[in-house]
Amino acid sequence: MDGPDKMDWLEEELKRALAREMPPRDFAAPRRRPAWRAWAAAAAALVVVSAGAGAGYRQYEGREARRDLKLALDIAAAKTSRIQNQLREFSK
Amino acid sequence: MKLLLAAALAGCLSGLGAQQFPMQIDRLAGQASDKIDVSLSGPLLQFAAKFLDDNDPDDAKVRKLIVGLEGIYVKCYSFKNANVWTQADLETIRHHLRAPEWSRIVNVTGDDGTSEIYVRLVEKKPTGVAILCAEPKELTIVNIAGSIDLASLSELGGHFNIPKIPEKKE
Repeated sequence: MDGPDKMDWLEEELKRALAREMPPRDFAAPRRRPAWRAWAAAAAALVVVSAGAGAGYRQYEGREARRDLKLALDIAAAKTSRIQNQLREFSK
Repeated sequence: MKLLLAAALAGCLSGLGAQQFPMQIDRLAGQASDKIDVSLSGPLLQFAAKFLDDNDPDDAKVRKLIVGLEGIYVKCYSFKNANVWTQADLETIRHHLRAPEWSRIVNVTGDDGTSEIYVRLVEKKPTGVAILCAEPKELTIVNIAGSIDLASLSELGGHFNIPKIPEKKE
């Protein structure tokens, strides 16, 4: 193949390579994943969110309990101190 | 039937714990302008202790103080007017502290009210403290279950929120 024959061959090859092709039938259709994968992803997200929320709530409860403990001791201390002062007053 | 009732009553009382006594005065709860109600039983007390910061000197004192405690219960009623509480209200509380294991160690009565400290002794060991403090516009009931050093407790006054009551000068 020399000269015009080679050109014809190349031209044919290019035409074939660049020819418009029809897309497959399901090309435009949305790709559907298996339903179980969506449920698994949702469940995993729920577990992560729940664990985070649970830990956060436990921290909140702990801080509240600590605040209550200090308040209770504070009141008890103030009253004990008051009684001690009253006793000192009486002993004078 | 009587046996069943007695068993049910015993069950209810045991739910309070041996060292805890009923502190609620419904009549006053309705009339108080401000109420503080703290109830920390053993597990909740231990839970709260986990959140104490050892780098904080106040928290470190609290941690030291609550070793050996089984519960802290506080009720504090504040009133807009004086003399809302009556001797009958105080008797409601004192009634529970007349049990043989409780002993009144301090009783101070003056113009500004009545203050009493009770200690619960079991086999000569202190296992609880109760404080009844009736001031003209405030009634406070404290029940500490377990062993606590009152001197160390009074030193805490003013460290957190409530200022230590200053000694009166002559």
